[in-house]
Amino acid sequence: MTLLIQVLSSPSLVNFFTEQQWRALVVQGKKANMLGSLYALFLDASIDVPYKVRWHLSGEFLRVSAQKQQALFELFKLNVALEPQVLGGFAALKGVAYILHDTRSSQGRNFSDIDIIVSQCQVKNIEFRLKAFGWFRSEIDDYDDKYYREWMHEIPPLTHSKRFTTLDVHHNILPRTNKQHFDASLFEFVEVEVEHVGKVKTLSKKDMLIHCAVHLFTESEFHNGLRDLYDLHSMMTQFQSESETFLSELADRAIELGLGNYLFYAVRYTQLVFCTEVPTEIVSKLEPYKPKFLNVWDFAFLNVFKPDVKACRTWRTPIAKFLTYWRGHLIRMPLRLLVPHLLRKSWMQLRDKFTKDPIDGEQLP
Amino acid sequence: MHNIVCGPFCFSIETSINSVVKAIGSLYTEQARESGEFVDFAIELTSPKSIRRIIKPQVNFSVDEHNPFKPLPLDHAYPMLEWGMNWCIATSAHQFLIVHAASIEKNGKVIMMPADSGSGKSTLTAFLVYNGWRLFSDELSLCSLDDGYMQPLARPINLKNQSIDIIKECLPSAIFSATAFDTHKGTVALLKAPDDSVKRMHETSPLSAIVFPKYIAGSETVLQECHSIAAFEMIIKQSFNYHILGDSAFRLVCKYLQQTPCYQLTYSKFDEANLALSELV
Repeated sequence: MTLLIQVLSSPSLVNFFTEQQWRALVVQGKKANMLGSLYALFLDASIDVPYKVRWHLSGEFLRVSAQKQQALFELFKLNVALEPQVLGGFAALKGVAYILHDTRSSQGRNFSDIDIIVSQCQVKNIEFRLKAFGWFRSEIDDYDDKYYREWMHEIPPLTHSKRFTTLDVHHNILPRTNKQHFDASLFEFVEVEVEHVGKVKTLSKKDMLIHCAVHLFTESEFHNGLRDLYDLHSMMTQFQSESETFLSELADRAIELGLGNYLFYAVRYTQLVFCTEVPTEIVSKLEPYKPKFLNVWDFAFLNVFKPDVKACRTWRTPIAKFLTYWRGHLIRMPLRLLVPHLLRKSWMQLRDKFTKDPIDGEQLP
Repeated sequence: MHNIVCGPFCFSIETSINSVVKAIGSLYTEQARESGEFVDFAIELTSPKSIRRIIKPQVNFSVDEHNPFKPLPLDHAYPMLEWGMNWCIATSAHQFLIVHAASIEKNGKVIMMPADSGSGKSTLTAFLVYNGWRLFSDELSLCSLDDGYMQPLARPINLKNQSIDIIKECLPSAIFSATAFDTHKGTVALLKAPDDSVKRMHETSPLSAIVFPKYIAGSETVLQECHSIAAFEMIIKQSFNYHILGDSAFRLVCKYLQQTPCYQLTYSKFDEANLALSELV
């Protein structure tokens, strides 16, 4: 088991850490985008972090706290831009949703975009309206644009022209080409009152957790895999401690939505990675949703849910990455669409390699 | 493997690129440490082993197994290391308000000189630190959020274009890196930090003046007091992490502006600029 995972499961382990172990933890935490979460965890457990290490964690915590404040400001702006009476409004998803529900996992959590979901029939109008408020489509070629619009569950990302924040506008939960594609309006939404922002719509706690599972287990790349799995672990633990029947209701709800298989994965890998406490009756409730070839997926997922650093890589890592990459793509679209798509993408990459100059130091300070 | 200590930070640098090994060997002699120090940033500079290396060899910068930049031509390897080190500090050391400014000290008093790139602050700093001033930094000024004291970095000074020859002429015995041509900042060479500044790199000092320098060819030396509101805007504009620190940075800058006089310095002669600044400390 890696150092980062051990510490996330039992933070007090660091009380006996040597400098080398601290250093390894910082490198793993940085690579997994979880330094801020680590700091929040230590604050919560009143653990004293040596100064040499602390500023690495507290600095990242400050950065993500500023990001969080920015996200709330954007929600305030979006409340102005998208009136519910006219366009059906919007609901916040993922990172921002965790903030709205003030989950423990949102403390110090790093996130890059603001994700919202809007009603599918209003997407065009909403995009037009967002443009008037400064949200523009980032540079994207026609093929990618078509890929998003025809097959995906979101439109190409929008960037604000002055504040440079990125907005992901979804109109569904799963790509249209996914077999389990279903109407997002089946999800249950709640309204949360936020200071200085007003009322914001987001998913109910159960559906938010299910969405988190669906999102994670349809991914094909896992740079933030460990962070997202930790979200699941942390939310399951927190919500169950608030209400004893939470996990049982969660399982029923996932099954009702036809998404039992995603919750099966969520429960299985949070248990195997973070030793999450899940009552056995819930595990058996989800047993029928077990995938075929579970051994293969155990191998694959347990090897990708790790910080992507040299110290944690083995010969298994590339095989696991290969398996999860193809798994992600194949659930996103059937082979008859996927093969032409990937061929086209690799050709485009090759073309760019020769036509665009790769030397570009402009981002250097 | 080299461990290099720059003020409060320790970088470990691993590379087999000759130009970098040579530059570190000559510019960081006093700052090299045996292992044992707690490493803050583990940097690797490597030359990618692709076909490209035959026609156009490149260099890759990674810190803690993360590649923040696209590769650069191999000739720019050492400047890339310096820029990369700046990036490491500017993006993570939020225990400081980090200002794009040169800082120098005399009589225990620090002058911070925030300025846009190309305003000649590094050139002036290079001259001053070899003429009686102690070098804190030529590019990243670190203001502690705890006590408001300035924290030295004592790293090599980044000289560009014409200023390389000017400074080489003023300081014939100083040590310079090899010159790198055609970088995104033009021609670049680095000047070794004075030994005394390096020796005292852990010695913090209070800020006692803020000066906005401006080189204008042929001009008289004029030191003019400047309004604190204008200074406030300038400091924020030149700060790397004001937007992250928010409230605490605002309070620190306010404290500085209430206690510290601000000036605009127009100059064309180093000696005269030196005299004018010396009167402030």
